[in-house]
Amino acid sequence: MDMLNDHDGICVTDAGDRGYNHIAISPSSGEMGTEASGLSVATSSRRRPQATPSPDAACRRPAAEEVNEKLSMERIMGLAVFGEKVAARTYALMADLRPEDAPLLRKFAQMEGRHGTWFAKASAANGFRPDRAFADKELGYLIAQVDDHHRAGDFDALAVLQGFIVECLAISTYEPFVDIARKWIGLEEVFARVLEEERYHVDWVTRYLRLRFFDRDAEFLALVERVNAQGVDCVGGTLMNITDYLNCVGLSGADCAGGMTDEYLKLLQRVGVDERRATKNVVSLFVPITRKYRQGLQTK
Amino acid sequence: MSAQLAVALEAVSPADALDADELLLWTTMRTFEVQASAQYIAHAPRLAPPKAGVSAALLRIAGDDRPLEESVLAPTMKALVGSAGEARDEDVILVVQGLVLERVRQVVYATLTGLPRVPERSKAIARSLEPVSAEIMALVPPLFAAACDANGQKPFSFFVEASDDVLHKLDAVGEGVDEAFGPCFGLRFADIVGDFVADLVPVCVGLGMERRKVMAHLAGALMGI
Repeated sequence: MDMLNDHDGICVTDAGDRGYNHIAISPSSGEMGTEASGLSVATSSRRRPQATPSPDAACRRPAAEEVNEKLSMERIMGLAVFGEKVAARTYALMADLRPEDAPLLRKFAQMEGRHGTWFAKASAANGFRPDRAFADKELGYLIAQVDDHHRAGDFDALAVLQGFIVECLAISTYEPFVDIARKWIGLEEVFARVLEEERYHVDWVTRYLRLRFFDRDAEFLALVERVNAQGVDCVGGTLMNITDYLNCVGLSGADCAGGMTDEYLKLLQRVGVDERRATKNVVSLFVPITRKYRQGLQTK
Repeated sequence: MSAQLAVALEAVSPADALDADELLLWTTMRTFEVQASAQYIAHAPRLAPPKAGVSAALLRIAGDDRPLEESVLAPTMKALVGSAGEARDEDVILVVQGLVLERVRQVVYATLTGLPRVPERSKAIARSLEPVSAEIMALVPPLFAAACDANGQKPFSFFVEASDDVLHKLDAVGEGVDEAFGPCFGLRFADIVGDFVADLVPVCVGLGMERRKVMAHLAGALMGI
């Protein structure tokens, strides 16, 4: 099976006025299709993803003995498939706010949608059913933040949240996955290709923010600290919630957390934020969620 | 003892000038400082001089163990001090105290001086102790680099090996710190860790360690894994 066949990809022509659920995935084939939701931006901003009814599985962190490779991969791939859908929607919403860059941002949205398709197909090829209930629980808080920033017309906040924080989570987990994914059909190729494309998105966002905040470091820092308060809590919290699964499939959750922090700090520094101040801000926000992890709690 | 510390301590004599929250704070820091000083004198004499007089001074203002023993901090502080105290080798002490715990103390003192709800007398003590920790921290990087060279050890692996347990124990103190000093002083462990990591990481990078690996090690300690 060609996991990277673009013809199976979704077409996000104007996802800015569509909700999170407009892209459907067949768990058996792993193929995505589209549903006509017809939601307006205003409606979708108040909408939460529809969780499959399995609250028990979605609400607690499983004990160590309950974590196995299949469960781990289904939750990780659930987050990858549906997280890419959210990313597609976010870039489409960003396109809606910035007409001069809309064609490129819509292209990013299409790329993210294709990533979801590739992950879904690769999951199906390996007999994994991406855990939608788990993904919904993780992504709901992120979608709410995206909608808040979009409603406020705050393109820069969306750029930091999606282009830096969310992409850093993706990069810090996809990158080590490339090395261990060869034991599964097609996953190594998919992770490597997706990683390359995510880096392309990050490069564009970095260039945009550098130009936008040239010689205005204090303003950029204020933006970052404002977005971080919820963004790091949310995305870092998701990383804590998948740590046991990452560990189970042969990765290190701690390495991924360190990698995500390092990657994010590098991006902030490239745009002009002082390393010490950025580190203090990001690490301080991580401490409460790492404490929850240590206590065996879900962070969301 | 520095003149600054002597003046600061004059302001809190007699001991009953400290309120209950301050007594717990300084009993905790005294336990921390006395252990470090004793360890320096016994096993790492090159780090001992800046601490001269600190233990005696803190014992004078907070010499009774009871405030700490009766507090939520007792078990985790005991574990932290116990873990630090296990180091007998100067090279390990350079990591455990010099890179890690001395920096934690320095950050705590710096943080206390900036918190509006901390009484002025305690701020004065903290202000006088901060440069002592800073002086020791400045001694450590060249000594650590020399120790790695002499032992043929890679800085990062040596740092990880020597600091792992004490970082776990340090993180365990966090909830107690928030409970004991959050409501009265507005002290937050998350802020202490944020400053600690922000200060430590560039030092480690300067010693030849990769930032990403250091961040992963610290993340693992914070996550308890």
